[in-house]
Amino acid sequence: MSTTNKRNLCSTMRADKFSNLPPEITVRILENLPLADAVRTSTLSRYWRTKWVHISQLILDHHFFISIVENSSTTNIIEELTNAVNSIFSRLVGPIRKFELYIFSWLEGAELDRWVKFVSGKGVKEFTLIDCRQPGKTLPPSLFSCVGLTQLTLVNCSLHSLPLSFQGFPCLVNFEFLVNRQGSHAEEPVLEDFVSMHCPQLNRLRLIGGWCFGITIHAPKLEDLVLVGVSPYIIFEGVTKIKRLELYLPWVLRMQEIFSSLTFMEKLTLSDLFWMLNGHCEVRPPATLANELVQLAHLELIRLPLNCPFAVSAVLCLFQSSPRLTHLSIRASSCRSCSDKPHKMVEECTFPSIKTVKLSWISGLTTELQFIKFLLATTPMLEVMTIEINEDAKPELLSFVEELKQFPCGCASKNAKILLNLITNKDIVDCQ
Amino acid sequence: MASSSSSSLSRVVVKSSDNNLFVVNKKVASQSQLLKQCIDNMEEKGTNDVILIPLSNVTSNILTLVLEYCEKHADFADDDNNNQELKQWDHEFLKKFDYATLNSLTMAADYMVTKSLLNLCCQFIADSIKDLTVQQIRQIFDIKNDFTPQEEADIKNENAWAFR
Repeated sequence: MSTTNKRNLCSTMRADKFSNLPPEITVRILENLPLADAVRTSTLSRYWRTKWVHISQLILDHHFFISIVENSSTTNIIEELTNAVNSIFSRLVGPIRKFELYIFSWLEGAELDRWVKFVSGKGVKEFTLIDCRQPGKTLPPSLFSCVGLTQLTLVNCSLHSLPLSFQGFPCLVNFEFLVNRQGSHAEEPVLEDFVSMHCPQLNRLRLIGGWCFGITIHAPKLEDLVLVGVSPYIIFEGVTKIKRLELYLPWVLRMQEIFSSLTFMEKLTLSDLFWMLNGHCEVRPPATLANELVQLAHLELIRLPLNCPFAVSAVLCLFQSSPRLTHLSIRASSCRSCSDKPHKMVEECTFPSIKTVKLSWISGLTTELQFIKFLLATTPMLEVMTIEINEDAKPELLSFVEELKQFPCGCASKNAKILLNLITNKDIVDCQ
Repeated sequence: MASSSSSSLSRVVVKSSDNNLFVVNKKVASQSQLLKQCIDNMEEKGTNDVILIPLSNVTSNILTLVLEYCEKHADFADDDNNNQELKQWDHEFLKKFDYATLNSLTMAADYMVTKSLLNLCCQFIADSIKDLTVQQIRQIFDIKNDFTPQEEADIKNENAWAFR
């Protein structure tokens, strides 16, 4: 909030309404403050003295530790940090629903485990661990005793082994595993075991990082899957019910294999990495997938190089294999190693289920123009097409769209609305 | 859509504590879990009348604001909560109010079980007091310091790390 707003609040709020809010709302407000600010409210008045100790979210993040280090007057920083955390723990009275901990590099394993044990005893449900120690340090064993967890986020943590006594997280629905280092092969079977054998309710999985491995996942309740990385290789075992899939990785060569087991998919997001693969331009994707994506309604393609024949054929393959595809969203880009020669498009095909199309970052390539015309000619039920164009795009494209707006002769749909937005380059830079 | 397939009317009437009536689209009203529950209960009974929901705790001026919020959010799908445009609108919406209004709006959001509005208000109030000194917060909210200097010093000592 800006300082002027604060001043406005100062002049208009006179009554002590803040103290009259119901206690549960007061606690919610305190939970939205950085911990130090929340703790400082204890000196406002007697009424406020013990309000903060009821908070159920405890965020001991990077900012929390840094603020202590920066304001420290003693030389023994480690002792000061641990004292601060212990002092907080000793005062909290209620259950802790959400806990976030930044593991700074000098924290001793035993102390860390004591903290985790504390929140485990407080019935923690949502747990985030950000490990900034050297890679290879083990996770606190008490983490595996937090049986009530519904959400677990591990950032830069090493998953080298699971304790023998680990019974699993029976309620875990959301698991995120993020690393910004190269994954080690020793972790693959552990991750595989963790996801497949210990989280029966897992609904949402995000694996993000510099992985270079293959794992087999058995997660019958999984509906949301996000994979970001260099070259993961995932096999789904048993029935998959995945409804939403986001891939930020180069997989296009295995498209057939991957998508054939994902017939429940409703929404699919593919990024530029999906198309980028050395030497891909010689490979020809199949015309259609072996198994249709019968439920797929939303397709989002991020940084699709419309001048790349390979990427365009892969997209057409998806169109042809998705009989219920309704909403299409494409953010265009261009491939440096491909020319801008018009593609040989499949003739006499039609996509009767497509209703809305959004094209952005159109820069005026001949191939983009060709693709837009192709879409208009093949979508008889099209309702709206939105086209966002770079302001410095080629004049032919602008005149083409202007023409379309007035004379929809090339459109298969008689009711299609075409909306044209000009985006200045500045906006595009901001978007990135 | 659910509302068009059901035979009942698409709009309901909500009555404020000062007896003003507001005609509200069901989709908008459903942003409030309290209103949604009332509508569902009435529909289960199979009424063909216009559904009237009296709210004994919310005045007209605050109800107008809650409904303005619900109307905006009904236009966006559930998974659109991270929509930038909507976030911007939320911020502009709350910025207009003085603290007393913000307070009543927070309580109304809690009472009407409009979770996203409640979260938004709590976050907004927290943001407005973040980084202020204890003295400044006391001044803004007219909170009387009823500690003796010794008591205040003791509390600071208990949580020394937060007071540097």
